[in-house]
Amino acid sequence: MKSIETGLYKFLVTEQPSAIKQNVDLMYGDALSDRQWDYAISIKPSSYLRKHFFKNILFYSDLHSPFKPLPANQAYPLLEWGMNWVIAAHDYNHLIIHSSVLVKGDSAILFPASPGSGKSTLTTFLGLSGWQVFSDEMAIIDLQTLTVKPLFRPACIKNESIELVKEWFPDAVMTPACHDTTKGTVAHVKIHSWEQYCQFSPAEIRGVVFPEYKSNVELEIYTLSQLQVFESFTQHAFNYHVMAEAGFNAASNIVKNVKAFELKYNDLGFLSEFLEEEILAE
Amino acid sequence: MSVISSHVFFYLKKPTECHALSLEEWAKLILVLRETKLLASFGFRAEHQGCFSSFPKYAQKHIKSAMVYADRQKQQIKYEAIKLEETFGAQSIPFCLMKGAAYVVKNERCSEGRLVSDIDVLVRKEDLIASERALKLAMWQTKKLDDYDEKYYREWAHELPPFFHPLRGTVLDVHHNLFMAISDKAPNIDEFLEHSEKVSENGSVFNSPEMIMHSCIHLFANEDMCSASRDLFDLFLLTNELDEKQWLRLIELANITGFTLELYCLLTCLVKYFDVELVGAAFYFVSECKHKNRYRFWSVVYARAVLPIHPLVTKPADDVARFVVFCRGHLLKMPLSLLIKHLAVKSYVGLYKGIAGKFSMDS
Repeated sequence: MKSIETGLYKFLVTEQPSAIKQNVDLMYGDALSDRQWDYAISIKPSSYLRKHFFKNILFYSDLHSPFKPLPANQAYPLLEWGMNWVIAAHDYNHLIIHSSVLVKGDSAILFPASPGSGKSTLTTFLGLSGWQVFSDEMAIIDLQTLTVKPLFRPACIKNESIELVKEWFPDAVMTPACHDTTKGTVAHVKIHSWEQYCQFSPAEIRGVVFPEYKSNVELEIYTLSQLQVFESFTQHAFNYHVMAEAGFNAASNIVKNVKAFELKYNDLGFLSEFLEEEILAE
Repeated sequence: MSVISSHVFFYLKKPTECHALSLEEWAKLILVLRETKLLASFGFRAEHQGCFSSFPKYAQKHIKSAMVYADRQKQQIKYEAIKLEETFGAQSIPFCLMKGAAYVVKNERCSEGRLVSDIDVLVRKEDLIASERALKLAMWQTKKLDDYDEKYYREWAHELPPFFHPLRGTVLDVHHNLFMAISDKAPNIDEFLEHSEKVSENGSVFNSPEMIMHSCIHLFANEDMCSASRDLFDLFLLTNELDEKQWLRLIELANITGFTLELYCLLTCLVKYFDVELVGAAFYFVSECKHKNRYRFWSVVYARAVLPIHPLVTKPADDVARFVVFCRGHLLKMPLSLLIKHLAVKSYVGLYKGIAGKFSMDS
């Protein structure tokens, strides 16, 4: 049985189609650890008919499948999404917000999700240009220190972004594109090596940015109030409804110490400069 | 693999005995406890026995997370109890909280870490229509059922089709008896309601013997064993608190309602898995029953059926026992003619899903 080490969480994969082994190795192959696995997962056909006629597969978290079946060729994205689900549904020791996390120095900037905002493209671009990517999908926040912890996961880029990333970074390590998923065509990009990841340490959250890609706008900036940021945290948190008072306290304390902006942009270089000057400098 | 199904009960009773487990064994024990809905309960028990902090950090992390989740549920149940008082109170409908919700409101030891999948509430049969109306006014909704399931609930069962609250996501079962109305086993509900205590203006919970009798019926006269380990652990903690007078009442209640076999199975399971020492009335009750072959047979079957269900610990004989229990549970609930029809409908659906996959009937 194989395991997948994602830094904070280690998954035991009890069964998987042999076809995804190559992608798993490509993304996680260098992450070696001998610690105890946290969660048991598998990907397998759910029934006789599914296996032999429809070629469908299901993701299982131990004995239960949270999603509907997908065509067998989508096994790898299903594995990635399944691992996200397992983390969000089992870890109530952290406040977990649906957001990508970019870090420079000891400071983190959160980009809470809104689909189609270009968040993953931005994450990948900055990650491959010198920023640390703690996650493309979830901010894992320590309830005591209010710092965000690094995950060892690839970024998931979609549709036109796949060609863009290939153009910008011809050497980027990427899974083959997987077509016709619920999110369109997707590919996973390895941003950091395990060796790099091991140098990362929890970072203080200094900024929250809501990006929106607009082809005709170079850079437009709107400042957001603490209340707006708080509201977005509660909306985008995977487990805020479970964390109760601890979640409320964490979210409200983070909000008090961050600069928050809504940005419309079409130039990632400008965006990066703005983030460094406005949020990280001081 | 040294996690054996009956060991799970042993560790639940004495979390201090976990000190010798390797991390791999911890990982497996945690999977089994999580599947059995007992991971958080285990954590609270370990805290009470003062050994939680001596567990490896790995185990603490996973157990603590389950405890946070269970705590949040408990908070929600308390809130729902207040809302139900508002809803039923407006129409002056008396109601009685049962099972998980009752343990929480009564602050029983077993409510610590206990997961509650739905709230069970009992109203008098004559208040059923008014209750349904009151709930709908308070935004509670019911899922659209097919005609067969609708008929099952309305005509044969002891409860209404489940309600859910669209904003809070809570599920509510409204009962008017403790057992299938169409069976001849449905007890006289006054026997229970007359021994209950108020928890709010219109709300009540059963006294301990009645509460235990109901949970015992629910566990040992049911066809579904998927929460059996959890329910048995509840009953271990609940019976632990009984005094001699309450034991007498529990046995009297079993005799009045005709569920002596169920009580016998409960007590033998508690002795077998939790080392409970029966004294006084309970001891005599068991001594008398154990001469009856039928009682001995079923206690052996149930002793297997209540074991945790997980591929890491389940043995083929456990599945056989659960199948036998499945048959008995159905036979108790319905007359045979109706049962044959019921199983024909349900097994067709089951077979179809078995071959085509569980999402195949989703529209």
